[in-house]
Amino acid sequence: MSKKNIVLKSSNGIIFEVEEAVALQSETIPYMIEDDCANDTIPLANVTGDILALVIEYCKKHVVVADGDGGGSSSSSQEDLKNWDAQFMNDLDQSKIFNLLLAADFLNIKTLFDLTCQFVADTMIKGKSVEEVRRTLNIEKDYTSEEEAKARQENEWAFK
Amino acid sequence: MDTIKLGTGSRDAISWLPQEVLCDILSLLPTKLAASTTVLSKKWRNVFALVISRCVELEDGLLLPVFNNLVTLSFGSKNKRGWKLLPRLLNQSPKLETLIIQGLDGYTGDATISLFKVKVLRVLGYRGTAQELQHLKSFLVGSECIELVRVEIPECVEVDDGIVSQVHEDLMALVLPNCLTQVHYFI
Repeated sequence: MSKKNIVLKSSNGIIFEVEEAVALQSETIPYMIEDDCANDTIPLANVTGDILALVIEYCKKHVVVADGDGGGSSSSSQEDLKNWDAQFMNDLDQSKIFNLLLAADFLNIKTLFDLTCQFVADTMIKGKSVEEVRRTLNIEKDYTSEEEAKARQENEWAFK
Repeated sequence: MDTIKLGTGSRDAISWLPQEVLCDILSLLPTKLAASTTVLSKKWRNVFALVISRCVELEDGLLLPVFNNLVTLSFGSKNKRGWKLLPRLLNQSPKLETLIIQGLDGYTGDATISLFKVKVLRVLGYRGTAQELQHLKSFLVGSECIELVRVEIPECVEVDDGIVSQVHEDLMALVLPNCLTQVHYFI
């Protein structure tokens, strides 16, 4: 049986050919197919090749096996998937993580978007002081000290 | 968690994400922590404002977020307006397991309380009146998850064994057989 393949093209011209079921985890891609915005190849103007490769890796892992007899997802495979997700995120550096987040947002892949948001919240912000968050994320303080004091005062309850 | 290799040199890679995305991230944090990000930089001040604006707006203009991590809620009010808030709080708290009511005094019965997934209901300041029992009954209608109902009679109320066992029997009549009931009292 021939499975339909979809060809995706990254912003820097790298071509990926994937099974339809893999690509359709994105809720954006079906619209692009319908709109026929490309005959065969779907151009993704704001996703670079290295990020698209990660997105596809994730989608391949999470593709729901449609055929096969019913009860596919046993609890152990759910557990495996969770571990895989954790490892997948852990292997990425910050800039990849944020680009992946943008790509998941643009391509509308909800589970990947949620996974990435949760990872950012848990590993980069949770349990850290403001100063530590600033350091972790390299956020430049663009407040004057008066402005910072004012911002602090506005949400005073949060610093108690 | 081990310290992670998240460094990207010295570039701020997060702040250029769209505000909506940052807002999604902050929504996953405890409110207090999310609010403290307002002092990170000017951009972050606006992000928290956006988180707040996504909260549910009540008729009287009060904003209520979704309390995703709330498992125990202790609630008390002596007036009608306060009690009207409780169903909304319950609605916004999908993971709530324990509800502590600080006395049924101000409750007039005109706010419909539904306990959803609440497993433990504790009522403090319980005096065992018919009215209180009526209220409890209305709370417990259709609540399938409840595992324990505990009422606590305050020290100032004098009780004897008869009253206590009456209260206990009343409670047992309200709940399913697999739900525990407890009466706490002073002697």
